[in-house]
Amino acid sequence: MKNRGVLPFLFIIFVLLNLSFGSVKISIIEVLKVLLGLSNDAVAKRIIFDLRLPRVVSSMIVGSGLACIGNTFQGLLKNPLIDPYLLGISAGASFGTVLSLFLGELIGTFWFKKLYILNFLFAILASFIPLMIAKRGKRVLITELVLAGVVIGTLFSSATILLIVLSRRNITHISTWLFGSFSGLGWDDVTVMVIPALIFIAISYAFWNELNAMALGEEEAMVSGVNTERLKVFLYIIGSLTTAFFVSRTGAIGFIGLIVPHMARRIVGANYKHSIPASAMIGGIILPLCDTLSRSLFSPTELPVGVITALLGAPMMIFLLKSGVKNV
Amino acid sequence: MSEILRVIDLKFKYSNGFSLIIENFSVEEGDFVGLIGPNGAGKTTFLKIILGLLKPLKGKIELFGKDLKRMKRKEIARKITMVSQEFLPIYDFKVKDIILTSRIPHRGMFDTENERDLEIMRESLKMVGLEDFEERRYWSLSGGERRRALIAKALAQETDIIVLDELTAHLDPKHILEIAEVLKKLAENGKTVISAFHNINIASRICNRLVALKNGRIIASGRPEEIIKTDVLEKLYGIRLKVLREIPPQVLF
Repeated sequence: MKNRGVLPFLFIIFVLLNLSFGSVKISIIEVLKVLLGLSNDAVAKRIIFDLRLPRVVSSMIVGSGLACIGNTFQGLLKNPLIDPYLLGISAGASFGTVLSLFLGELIGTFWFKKLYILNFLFAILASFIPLMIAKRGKRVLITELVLAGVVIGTLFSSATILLIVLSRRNITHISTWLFGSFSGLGWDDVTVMVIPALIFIAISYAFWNELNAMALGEEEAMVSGVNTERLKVFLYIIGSLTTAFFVSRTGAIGFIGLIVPHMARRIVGANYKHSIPASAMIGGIILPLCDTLSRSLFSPTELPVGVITALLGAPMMIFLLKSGVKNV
Repeated sequence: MSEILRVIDLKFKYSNGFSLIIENFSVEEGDFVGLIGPNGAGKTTFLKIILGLLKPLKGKIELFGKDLKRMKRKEIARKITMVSQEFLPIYDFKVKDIILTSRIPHRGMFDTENERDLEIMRESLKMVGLEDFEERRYWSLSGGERRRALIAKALAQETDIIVLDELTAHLDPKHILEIAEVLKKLAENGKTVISAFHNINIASRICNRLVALKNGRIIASGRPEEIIKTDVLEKLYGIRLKVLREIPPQVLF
């Protein structure tokens, strides 16, 4: 419990570290000077304000958002292995992106500019089809929703590979979309992502007790006065929409939504009242860290950030599983 | 004494062909009603229907004179709650976290728990003999303690009616007696309880009214001494049981 106060402190330290690292190294002192407006170094200012800060801020937002969505979905769908990324939303978005690149190749550059629209649309589509499949009358069946999500995700992933093979070019560019990247994001991207992220975090926090009740079981939640059908559909839809906003700008970033909630629960306990803010904070620390690694490790070449999250996330998950901490 | 729950002409069907038909069933304030009957008689199904968890094909359920179909979940949850048998949280919550979910019907959306909620939580834990258990992890409790914690959760919901679904099932004698003590306390405190029972003896000792359910129909209903009789039990369970004529009567098995 005493660990709770440490998180905000860590958060600030990491932001400074992330701003400092990169292909051009800027010392932490210089970073602080620039942030406080005390520096005269125009290049450092430009690098920090126009390049690194939007990137760090976007990765913080996406990290916090994905972690909260993952945490919420895990309780809502009563499955601790849920990652918004696994439910087809991200696969749909990737497909949309590759499709617009493919169409761009066929028709012309016009389609390429519609990149965000197509991948946003397919993200929505990939999250609504499972909802339709899992609907029985007025009820949405949880197991069916998860299974349908995974199936639709696999379907879109395969369709994506098919398109890549058909187009036979530009594979490196596409890999960014398949594994996610914060490269080249600016303040306008930050704006698009920050609003849905904040809305989702606020809403999931407002429903902390309902989410606790859902994690006890759907019937249990109904007995406690929760309108479970409405809550499920409502949170699933806004969670999917928020994820769609993220993936339309960054591509599909896996593992954050799966791993971070487990870490948060280990630190602050299972109660959603504490695990939602903790997820937001840990997600906001880890994803920028992964992004910094992705652009520093093989600088000037950048790795897709999803490669780092998977490389770090998979062993972490295995550790959590082996250390006997079941679903904490 | 006034009638607070009434079931009229209820009909329910599962897709496997099982049907439940209850022509008339009512509960008065302060009643301790025991549902007995063989496995698969429809006890749990019936309980879930009166909580609105399962929708009947036809019929009417009135809770305090109000049609259950027209009530919101929160409204229902302020009047009636249930302690169910199958309860498996996916995370290892603290006892406190679990009990506080029962305060949802008494709160607005952005309210966090207040002192009163915590007080009620502690009082309910005391009532079931689990003082100092609020910070314990649910998974670390024994079977009997878990059931009692869940009864505390139901109490903390401050409803008029508590529904219990075979709380003594799968427990050893020691824990069964602990649960029986808690149930007796509820009865003494004038709580209105409707409970399904595997254990006929405990039902006979605690309830003021027993309802015998078989194949989805009520075959007998009345005071324990009217129901716990060799002929009624033979009709209900299909075997001859020896009844000890004590007050209340007990069955040997």
